[in-house]
Amino acid sequence: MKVVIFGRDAAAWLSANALQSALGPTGLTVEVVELPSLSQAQDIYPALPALEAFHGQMRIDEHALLKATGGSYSLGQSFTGFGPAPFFHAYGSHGVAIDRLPFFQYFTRARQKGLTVALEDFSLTAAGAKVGRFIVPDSTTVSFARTDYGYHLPAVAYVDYLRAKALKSGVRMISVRDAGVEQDAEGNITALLTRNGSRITGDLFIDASGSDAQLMRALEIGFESWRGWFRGDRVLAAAGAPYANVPPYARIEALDHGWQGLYAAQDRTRLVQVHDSRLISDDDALQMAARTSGLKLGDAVVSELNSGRSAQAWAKNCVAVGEAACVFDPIDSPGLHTIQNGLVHLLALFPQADGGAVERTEYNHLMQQGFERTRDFQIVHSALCGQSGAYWRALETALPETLTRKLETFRARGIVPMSDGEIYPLDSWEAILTGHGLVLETFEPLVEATSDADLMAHLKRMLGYIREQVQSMNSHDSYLELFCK
Amino acid sequence: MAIGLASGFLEPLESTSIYLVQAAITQVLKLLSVGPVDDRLRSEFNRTVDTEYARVRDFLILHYHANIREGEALWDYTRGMEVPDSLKHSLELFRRRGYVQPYKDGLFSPPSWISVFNGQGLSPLGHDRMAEAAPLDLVAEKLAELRERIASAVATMPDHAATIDLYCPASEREMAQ
Repeated sequence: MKVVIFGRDAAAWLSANALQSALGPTGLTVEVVELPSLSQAQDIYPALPALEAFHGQMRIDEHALLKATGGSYSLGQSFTGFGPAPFFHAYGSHGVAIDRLPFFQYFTRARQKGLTVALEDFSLTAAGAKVGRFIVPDSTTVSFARTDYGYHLPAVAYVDYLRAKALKSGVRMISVRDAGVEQDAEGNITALLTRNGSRITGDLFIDASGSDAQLMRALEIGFESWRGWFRGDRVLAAAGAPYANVPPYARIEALDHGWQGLYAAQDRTRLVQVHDSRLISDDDALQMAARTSGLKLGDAVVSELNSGRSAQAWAKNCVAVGEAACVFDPIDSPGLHTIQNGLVHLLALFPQADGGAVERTEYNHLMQQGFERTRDFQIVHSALCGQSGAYWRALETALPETLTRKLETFRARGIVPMSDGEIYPLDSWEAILTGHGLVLETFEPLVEATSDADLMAHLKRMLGYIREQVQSMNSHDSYLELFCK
Repeated sequence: MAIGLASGFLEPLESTSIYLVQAAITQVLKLLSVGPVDDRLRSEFNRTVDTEYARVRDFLILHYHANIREGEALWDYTRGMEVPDSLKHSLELFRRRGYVQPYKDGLFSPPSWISVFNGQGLSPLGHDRMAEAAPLDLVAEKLAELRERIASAVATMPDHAATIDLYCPASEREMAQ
């Protein structure tokens, strides 16, 4: 059996590595028909914590990867201008349970009693990140908190790394400018046709062509636009000099006409800015980017953004991976995770020789779930942003019912009803909903069983522990210096 | 708030009655309001209880539906009856490749589903392709090893009746009742 991956960049090469390392030993042939890369020096892939385990399955060594790419660690994202005060979305937990009841409920109670300490101050991850430390989870930290990390991976070097690894492990490759699609009477793809007359046949095709979704288009699969929730239609990417101290987190800021993210790495600092072309011209957006970021920005590239998802992620014998399946606004960095999630489910449901109608149904269901839960998380920013700028005015489309339920239950009781297929964990939901200034009306009655004095003592102990731990952590810079240079 | 049998009845085949009481109480403790009832919390309570019921329901129906007792009126009927789409899809996925859908809320996890699918005579036509990555003799060896480990662990376990005698014997009065 043979899989043909058609596309470019991280979507194509993560697909190649994942399929080859999991199914190569079963005799599967993997061939990449590579389109010219769209990655440029100013592009960055911010990765959520789940990527670490995925890399592990493909036997990608983290230190070697960061060394080869000039990448860095990321403990979360700071948000400015979105809520009543800046806040931190840490890739970790907040506080510890008291009497087996959730910390967040006690936090809510303490807040109602006048506590002014922010939620993020109870996060070891956030506390470390904000002073430039890096946390390697160990037996001490694990008993107190979940402390995960993602990465900031410079795109060109990351793609080169993945390509070299795939080719070394036996993936075949051919480079093309474009390709024609040959289909049989039922619409299944039988081959890709190159300009010089090659005919590349396969049993299963992966559309990794990015937002062009070239194979899905050939199959005439519809697209569901999310513009009513995400008004940004332009992404500006630029890069500046690296920071003297590489911050171990991304900095996200709400602007009048969109938002801006700064992603530090060892080699350079990258900027991603999303705006609405109906509100500001690309030139003005670039000037704004330079002004707000305080960076001297090199070549900026503006590309179009059209958020939404393909009606099916798997159609006929073609599976769309990454942006070919779903284009996200880059806020909250779901891009690489979308690729990963698609591949993890594809491996678990990999079709058999006779096709895979049952697998396809399940796959499309799982992917839709993941896409929509991610989308809901991102909509929180537009739905609750405290900015008065035109970009953040009322949404054109009503909130999805799934998100409304989350917001209402959270407001009423501090509970976020998590469904199947969530991408962001509960801690992340609590961090951004609180950060955006949602005020909770009540908390779980059981947390009243602890006395005020005991509760204060618990909270003080947690803050004291965090203070101590942060002091003993390596700085992010020294960690990179030691292991990733 | 209806708890247990007042909220619904699912037959006792899989001993789920106490569990459903427990699941509802857990939600009550989280969602109970001191003042007037909050619609938002009521709807969250109903949603979580509905999910629990629907998933246990499918699991129970599976016992009736996937049977090989041909020529017996009850079982012939249940084998041929319409079942919920959610169960149909689970059955198809298992028949085809031994795949069990994971879910977050709900009592029965994949090991339970697998043991009933398997125990009621459903054998998957295919399997996960990743299972082919290891050569068959290595797989056989690993399985044999696993069986041995289980057997030796079982051999060291205390006897059930002896454990009860030791820690929680019923009093004579209870025995007499």
